[in-house]
Amino acid sequence: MLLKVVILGDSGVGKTALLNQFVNNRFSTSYKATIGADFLTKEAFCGANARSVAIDETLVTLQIWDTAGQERFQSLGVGFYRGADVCILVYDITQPKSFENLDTWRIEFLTQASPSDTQNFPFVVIANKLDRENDRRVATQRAQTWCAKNSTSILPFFETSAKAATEVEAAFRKAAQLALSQGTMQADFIPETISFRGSPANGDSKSSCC
Amino acid sequence: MADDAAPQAEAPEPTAEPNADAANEPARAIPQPRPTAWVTGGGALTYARPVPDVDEASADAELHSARAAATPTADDDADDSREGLDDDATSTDSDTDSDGDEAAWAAADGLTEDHRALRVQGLAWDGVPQNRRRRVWLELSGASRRAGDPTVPPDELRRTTEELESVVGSRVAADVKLDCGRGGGRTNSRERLVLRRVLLAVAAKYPATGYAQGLNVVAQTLLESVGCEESILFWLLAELVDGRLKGWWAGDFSVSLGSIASALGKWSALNGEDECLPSFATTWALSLFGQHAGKPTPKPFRRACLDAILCSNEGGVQAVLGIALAAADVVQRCPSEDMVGRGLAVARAFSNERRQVLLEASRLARTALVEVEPNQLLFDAPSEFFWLHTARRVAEARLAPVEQAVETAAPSLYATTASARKAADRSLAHDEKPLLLILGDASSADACAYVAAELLGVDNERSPPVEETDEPSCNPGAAPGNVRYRWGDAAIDSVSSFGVPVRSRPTAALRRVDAAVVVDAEVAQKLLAEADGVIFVIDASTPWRRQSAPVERAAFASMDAGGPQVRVVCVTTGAGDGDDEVANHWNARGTQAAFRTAGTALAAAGARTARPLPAFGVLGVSSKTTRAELRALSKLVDGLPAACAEKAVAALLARCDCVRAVATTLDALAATPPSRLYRWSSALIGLVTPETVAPILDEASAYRAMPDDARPPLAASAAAWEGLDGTRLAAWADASPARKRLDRALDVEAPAMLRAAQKR
Repeated sequence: MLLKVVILGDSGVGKTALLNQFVNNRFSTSYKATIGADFLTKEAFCGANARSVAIDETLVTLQIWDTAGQERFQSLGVGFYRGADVCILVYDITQPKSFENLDTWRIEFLTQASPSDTQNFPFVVIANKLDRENDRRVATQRAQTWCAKNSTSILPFFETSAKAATEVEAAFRKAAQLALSQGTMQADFIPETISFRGSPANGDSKSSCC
Repeated sequence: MADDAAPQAEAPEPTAEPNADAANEPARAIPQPRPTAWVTGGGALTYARPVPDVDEASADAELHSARAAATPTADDDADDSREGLDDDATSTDSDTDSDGDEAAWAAADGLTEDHRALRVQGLAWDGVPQNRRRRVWLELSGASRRAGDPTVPPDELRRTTEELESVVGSRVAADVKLDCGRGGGRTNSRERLVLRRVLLAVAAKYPATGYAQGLNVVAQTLLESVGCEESILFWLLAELVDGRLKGWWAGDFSVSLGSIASALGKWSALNGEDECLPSFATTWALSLFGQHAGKPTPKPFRRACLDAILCSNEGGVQAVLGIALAAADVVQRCPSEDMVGRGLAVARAFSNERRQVLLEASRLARTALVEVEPNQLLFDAPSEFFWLHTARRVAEARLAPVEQAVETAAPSLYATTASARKAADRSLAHDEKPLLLILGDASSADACAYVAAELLGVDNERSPPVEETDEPSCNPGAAPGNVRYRWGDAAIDSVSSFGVPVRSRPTAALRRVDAAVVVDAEVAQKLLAEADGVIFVIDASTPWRRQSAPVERAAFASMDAGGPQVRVVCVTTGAGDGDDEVANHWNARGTQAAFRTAGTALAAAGARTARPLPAFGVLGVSSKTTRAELRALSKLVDGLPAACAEKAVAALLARCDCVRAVATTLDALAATPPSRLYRWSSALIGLVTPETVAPILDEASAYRAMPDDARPPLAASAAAWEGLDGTRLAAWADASPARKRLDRALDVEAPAMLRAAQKR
């Protein structure tokens, strides 16, 4: 079972770092800017090793799409958002602008992905860079208020640190659970493939009766 | 072709018996044509690297060393935390990792300005040596022309960083500040400041582009390659942003990248359903292959990509698309359905198969983009379209002058090749679209129309897209049943992207052929001469008379004379209820009945004498129509454009053969004692007859008296020969008996006979 997870947020809030922390249990200070989109997958085996996720005894593959934060890449979103089962919105607690832009990201996602039920589509909100608590400029209470008013039910909210691996696993686990509970799972898509090498050079196919 | 080191051990007995001393004579080289140049899409000549006088062994050694050089030697960004990518995608980051062939580049240094530019542009796909990159990139990209003096900083770089930030606005300033250290690879604080200032200056200079992520990767690759000088980096980046890739990073990418993704998807027949390809393509396009799947690509690869994008004479857009198509091929070949797996496979290809990817890219950049009008390219055009156009262009621009020179020097000898050239000219003059002929007897008109409708999507109830009416004999009004279908250019939908018309959706291969349904013998005779494929339709429900079938007789006679192969289709036009054994060919009795009818018809048409026997199939009109048979016919039609183009290229090669044969014969005649002239020259090429030998010998005498530079430009015919492309042409040429015969004559027989003749 495949769950498509999309991570959105302003440039530099730590989307790639969160993803790598969750998938690879690693953090690096030298991440490259994500151009367009990138993705990683993580299989969730029930009762497997510590890096796996057990979700209600269900085996899932999380296909996590890491998107570019720069504003002008939003026009490309429709291709990347299509078929998403859950969306993770990320902001940086030291950058108020990145929090204020959550509205934009949420609306942009709902517009471009066009889920069947926009009111109840699962979102998870992540406040990243908790390790820089001293530089915090977005209060927790403010974010929680935002989460409460932007959905029929309160959006799950996590304060994380990709650097310190704080609450990262929990946030993604919650995202996966929400996607499963929505019942919007999509089957693995196997595209029809045709030989890249192009059309046959000639039409010398033989008739069966010759 | 083998070099002039004649393989004496394999030399056959020459016509003129060599005396005993001949074997001890040092082999004298006959000047052999060299693949010195090729003709690119714009009709310009691009010089290949010079071929040193090496033997096979050293050539092999060179090949092996090139392969060895492509082996990964180092790892890049070991601290990157992408598990899997780190583990599996080894990269080759050595600065000296065989970036270009220094000897070839050094050889180009001695050339005059124009020739040098042409030659080094041709070398660009092989990579620019690192110590030359700064100069070559500036020179060939156009950055030097743009700058005047690229070491002089532009006005923008005379400003402070703060001033630049105020010009570009806070948003761009913040993005640049964040990204200038995130372009891949390691940077120190000074380099980051340089990158930041250059990106800001370019954003200030070209506000329509501003700053887009991806430019930081490109800027970093430039910095790694040409150093940390602000003005140099600025002018190179400016040339990309406003020159060779103008508009590439402008706007919101929704049109440009969508088109790329769509084109790539179509190319790989994935039709955009595979999500990873558009994702990869976005990253490739914006970082100019500096990043893939969240990781910097190996340094040699991204530098080589910039070599091609900045320097190749195909142009920046073609270079990017060529590389993207080659990379899409890698994606498609990867068996994994998992996108991460595919990402890893591509990363490995960039790292370990860099040369193969770039080689394929250079081919694609030349062949996938067809110049339909000056400066107007059709992306994803069928490659046969390219071959046909190129064959014609080469014939007109390169070969014709050589032929004229040879004809002037030796009219009688040249005249001996007239029939071969005439046949070749017919193929080269062929219509751009191949012609499919659907032939039938007058009584088979309905069956013919049925085959056309099934095969071409033509509905008899509707008008064909364009109906040819300027040929009275093909006018449906004048001759019922004779219809020529021709699709116009309107069938090609295009959207503008980077100034390149891109087909917005797949176009049926069948639209690339013209089709004629003909049931009149006179019309059939006329069209058979130009047809590329023939389907002969038999209506199984029509009784056949042995005396009839003039149309079919004409078809098979044409096939026997070397015309297109005839495919026979027996159509059962009955109701198909089962009562009519002919109509219902799905049971044994019905099939036998259809065969019987077809056999009678084929016998009447004289098909039994045709060699090879035509392929045969049965179609039913009932709901049980054999789809497999239709698919087989569709494949036949689908292959016609390629067959047509191959014919044109073969014709070009045949003309090259002619001119080379004449020129080589002249050379040999000029160097041979008169007493031996007739025997061995006739044995060499088989061109000379007793009637023509006298004027030919006169011509040879005159030729002998010519100064070297007035003699026929033999090498130019070879340039035309080799001008189409390496791999594919080689495959065709290798398979050509004429080429083999001529190669043997030139490589083996001629030197041996010449030695013998000289000795005498």
